[in-house]
Amino acid sequence: MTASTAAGPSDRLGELLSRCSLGDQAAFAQLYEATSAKLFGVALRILRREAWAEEALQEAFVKIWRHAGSYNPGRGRPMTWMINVVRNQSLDLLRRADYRVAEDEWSAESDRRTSPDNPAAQAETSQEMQRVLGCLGNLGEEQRDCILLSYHQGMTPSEIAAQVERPVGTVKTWIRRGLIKVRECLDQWATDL
Amino acid sequence: MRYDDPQLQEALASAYVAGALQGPARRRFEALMRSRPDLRRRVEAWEDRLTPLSDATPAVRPPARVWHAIQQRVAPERTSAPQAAGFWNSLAFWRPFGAVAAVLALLVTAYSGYQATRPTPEPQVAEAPAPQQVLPSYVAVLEDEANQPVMVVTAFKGPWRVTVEPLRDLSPYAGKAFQVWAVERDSGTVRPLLQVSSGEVLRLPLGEAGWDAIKTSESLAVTLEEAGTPPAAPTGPVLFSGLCLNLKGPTDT
Repeated sequence: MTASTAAGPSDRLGELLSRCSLGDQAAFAQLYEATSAKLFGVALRILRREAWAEEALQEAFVKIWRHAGSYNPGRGRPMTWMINVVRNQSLDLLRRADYRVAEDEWSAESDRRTSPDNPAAQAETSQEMQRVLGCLGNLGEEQRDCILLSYHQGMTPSEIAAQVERPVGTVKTWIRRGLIKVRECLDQWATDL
Repeated sequence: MRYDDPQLQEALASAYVAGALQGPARRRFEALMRSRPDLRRRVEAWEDRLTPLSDATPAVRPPARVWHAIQQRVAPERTSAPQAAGFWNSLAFWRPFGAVAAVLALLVTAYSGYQATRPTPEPQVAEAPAPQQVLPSYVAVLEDEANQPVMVVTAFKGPWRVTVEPLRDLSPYAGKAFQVWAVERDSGTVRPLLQVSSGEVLRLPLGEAGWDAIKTSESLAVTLEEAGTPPAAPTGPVLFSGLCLNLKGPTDT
């Protein structure tokens, strides 16, 4: 995705979304053009199979079109809202039983391009991202990995437990406590400003 | 109530956004969220906190078929998309490659198609020319996956007939033919329509079954098949496809 104008791509996306809520198909096409590559990347990272990511992207954009009116412009970045529509769609798809069956055949195919520890994937970072990563950096390495595996790849606590060779209960506790620490750290940032 | 506990709300909302809440628990939480604005606000706050993690996720351009499938579903008057069932009916498989492009191409090609099919006063026509209706009733501009128009299928009535006009050189392998299928609007059922085996303009009379197949189709699609009797179902991938457009409005029969 390219940030087309210096004058706030968020504003432009917000405007496109509100036009979509009025049934403006041309605005929807522009919205797709501006965001689909980024959103496909997000779906691909979780689902790791192009066909599934395509399905998730399709479902997500139909939802974005139908629920564009429910995006609240006062709330924050339009991209945040759209990314979470795609993430939720992808996580749903990942957990559907028929997809789980097929997963075994593919378990060897892990996409290194988008694994959480690949520094090449970190090429484009925002200030907000630096801040979250900074806060995650305060956690223990294993704890941070658990959160990133869950966030980026939608791995279940038991899948993560198998990967990091720790009990499921420990992984769940790490994630829960780790996220609370991240929140406290981000709140600290906000009050320091 | 249990869910009034702010600590529990935070734990659930953060796990939900982080992708750690799975399966039935995730669905239960989503249902709960619909009726609880306080939970929704917590989830939104967590989305604002964690979504920047996606900033470094590489953008990957999706294939064009995704947009075409989306368009099919958001276009007005097309609220009932066929239910996915099995490979041949799955996802965007039978959806035309280029819906908008097809309509644009239609504007360019329909007139030339009309011109090409207008009965010309050829001297070898011995009998008096029947008063054939020359305005097409249905047109489909079939495109390849790169959205390039490949052929125009035009259906006329009075009598029922169809014209296939290849827009580029089409030479199937020996013994093969381009099988044109009609994809039924509501059920997604695929019915064989005709075969194209050369780049020549093809003019064929249509039986009632063929006319009905066109009339009830959402789109036409082409696969490569053995020349001769068409198989019951397509055996190869869709090479070309396009929306089948009714030029006379929904009441035309």
